Amino acid sequence: MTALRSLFTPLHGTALVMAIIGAILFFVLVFAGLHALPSRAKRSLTIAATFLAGLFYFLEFILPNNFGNTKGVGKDNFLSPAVSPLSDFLMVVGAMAFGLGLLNLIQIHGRALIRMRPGWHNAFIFFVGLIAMTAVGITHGNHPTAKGWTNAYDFLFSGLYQSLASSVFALLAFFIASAAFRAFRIGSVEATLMMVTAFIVMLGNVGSEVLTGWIPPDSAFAFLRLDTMTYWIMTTVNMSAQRALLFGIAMGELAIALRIWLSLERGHFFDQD
Amino acid sequence: MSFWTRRIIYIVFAVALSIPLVTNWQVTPDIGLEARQLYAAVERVPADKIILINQQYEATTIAENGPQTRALMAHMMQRGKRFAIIGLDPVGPGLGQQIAEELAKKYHRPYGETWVNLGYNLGTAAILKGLARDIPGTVKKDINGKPLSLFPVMKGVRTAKDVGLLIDVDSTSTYAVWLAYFTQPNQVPFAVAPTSVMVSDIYPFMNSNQVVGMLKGIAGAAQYERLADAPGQGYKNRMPVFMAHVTIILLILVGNVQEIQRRRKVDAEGAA
Repeated sequence: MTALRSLFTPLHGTALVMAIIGAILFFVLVFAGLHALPSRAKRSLTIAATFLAGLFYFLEFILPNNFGNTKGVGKDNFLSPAVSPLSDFLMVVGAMAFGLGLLNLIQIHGRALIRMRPGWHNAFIFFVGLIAMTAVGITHGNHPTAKGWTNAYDFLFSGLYQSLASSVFALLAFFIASAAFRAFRIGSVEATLMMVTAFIVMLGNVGSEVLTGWIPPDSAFAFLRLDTMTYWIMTTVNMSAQRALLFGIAMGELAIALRIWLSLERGHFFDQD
Repeated sequence: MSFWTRRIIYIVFAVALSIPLVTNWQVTPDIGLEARQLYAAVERVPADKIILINQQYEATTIAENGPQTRALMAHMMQRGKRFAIIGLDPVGPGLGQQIAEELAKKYHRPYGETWVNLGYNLGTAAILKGLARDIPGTVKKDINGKPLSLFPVMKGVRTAKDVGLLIDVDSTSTYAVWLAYFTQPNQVPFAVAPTSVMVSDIYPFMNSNQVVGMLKGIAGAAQYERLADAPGQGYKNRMPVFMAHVTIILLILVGNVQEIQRRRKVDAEGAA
């Protein structure tokens, strides 16, 4: 465990540069070696790595406090000290996924732009956005007090991105309105019940004060207030249904987790080979 | 549905949404139990503990999650509560920073003294397990890359035990992960500020006291603004949502009346 911890100790200066170069060389060799392995061996290695990773978190969670911990501090068992370094490791792996995603986008849009495929102008806008936001974002991060870069960043992030994203999302309301007119039909008693319930909850959550706010909340008629009705629907009818759903989902998740952990999932990893 | 019917619906909807915005129609909200409980939970946080605000949303839901964040931060800054912004989404902490900076000027709360931004942290379960054990060891630097040890607000904050309340301002149901890996195993009080569509999912957790309070979308934000005496976007955005709901209900009713008329016509033609 001490050796593992020393791997995650921050380095500085020449040691940091050497460590980066060393890590790159090491992993180039590792990946070259893995690439040269036959499919069966790759599959076995992946299954073993998946199982061990799952086993670590499983054991760390279920082993009792102080189990195998000679220091005997708090809630730790002998695996607990590795949780933080492994979090760092997962962050690094996750960051690599971002890089892969970016490379993939550049590849797809680059090809569309070079070959002038239909919709190439979208690819062009993608590159303009990517380069502008990356350049301005990094420069602004390095010079947070420079007014010009701050203005450029605010224009791109707050002025363009935020406004565009929230506007596109807001358009959904118009589609919902149109869909409600076309599709929500009373065809049965159940559908009618659902519609009435939906009306009460919609009006009870926002603006119940306008419609039934005049009924005193401590009077005998308080149950007629929309917010009171909504609260009852949410905490009685909705909650029991939600609990049932949650139990079902949890059981499904448990089954899926076990299948992935034990590499039983069909089409898992190298099945396509 | 004809070409014109769809356009008429859009125009009616746009007019209905615009009326409260143009006329500045605002109605004082009745405060619900969920918002009142969250307010009380913030008040209960002792001075030696910090509040974590998870900013789990992007610009798409800023109309709801933005006012929620603003109302919560306004309350904390008024009362001098220590808080740290954090996010498992890359955009959320930046949006939270904008709101906090704006409020910090109003309430004279300089960055680093009573609040800090821990920025975006990649990952979910593993990160939360790491945070529970060692907050500065897992996050290390703030959103600007400065070591957390520089900020007085982080003094004495080591593990989940030093967190007095976690509030998840959420549009993606990440609350379940926080609940499973951070708040429940470490007995940290937990509150959620979800978008309106997520509200029904939270009630089972409120009933079991795993969630101590909730802000229900924009309505919850307005209620909290009233509690904190800081009226803002929550008050303003609530009435257009009310008008949207009323318009949708009217459209459903009109659609059904049309359908009934159509069925009667078909029956009458069949009988003839």
